[in-house]
Amino acid sequence: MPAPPPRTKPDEPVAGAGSHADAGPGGEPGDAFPEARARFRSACETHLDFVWRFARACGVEATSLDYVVHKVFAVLRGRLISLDDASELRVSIAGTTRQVVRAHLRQLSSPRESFAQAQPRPAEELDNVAGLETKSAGELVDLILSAMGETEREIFVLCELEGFSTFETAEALHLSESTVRVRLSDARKIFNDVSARLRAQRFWISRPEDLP
Amino acid sequence: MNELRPHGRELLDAARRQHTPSPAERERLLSELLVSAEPAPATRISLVPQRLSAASKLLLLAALAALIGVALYLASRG
Repeated sequence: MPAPPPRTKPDEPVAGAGSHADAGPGGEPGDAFPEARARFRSACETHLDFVWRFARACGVEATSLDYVVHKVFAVLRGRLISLDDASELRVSIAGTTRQVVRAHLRQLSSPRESFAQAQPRPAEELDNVAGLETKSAGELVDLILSAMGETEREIFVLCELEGFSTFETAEALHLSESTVRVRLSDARKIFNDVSARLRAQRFWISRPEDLP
Repeated sequence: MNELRPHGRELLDAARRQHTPSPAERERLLSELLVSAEPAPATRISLVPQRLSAASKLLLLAALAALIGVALYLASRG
């Protein structure tokens, strides 16, 4: 059964977000609105780590993470007052982060690069990764995620890294729940295959000298 | 549905820890976000008219009424 439409619109355009004029009276966390201010603070404290990790896993480079986090919370400022439920807020934050990240990545690259970025990296390209033996877990996961398509990556990160249910993921990404289930299954298969491939390569690189 | 293998799960957990901002980074970002949410000086100035005293409001009303009166008088003469 397809997921019911979300009550909020996490994927609304983000242009002009962050200005006080756009935030409206409900979203202005100034002195005149102590409740909105407290909500904003609480949302930042609770979801800052998630926004940071999700943006990073979706391909935002370390030097732009600050910018993306600021942009996401600037967009959210205007919506917090209408989001009562904690789960609803988390879903809205995920949708907004995805929107901001996609806009940021598209802005950085030309249309052709942008298209290539959204495409999965062929698994064969991961057969000869330089310096594989010294890569950290985070770098290895980044490599594995690069073998997934954009949407699969987002679904995988939300479900497996952040503990979202398939229903919440479907709401955040504006997909049906059945689509999320199928794509998640595909993404897990890619993750298992590529991680096994990389593991075998690491073993081969660091094998004992006397191994035939 | 496919499930993640145990070593894949361990790898993911380790990556999640590595990709979480450090406490210092978190503190810095949090304070920046809260500062950016403070109302801009222009917004504070725009609130001033809402805090006019009763006498000032009365004076403003009288000035407006006089202005309208003058405008009507000029219109009837011209």
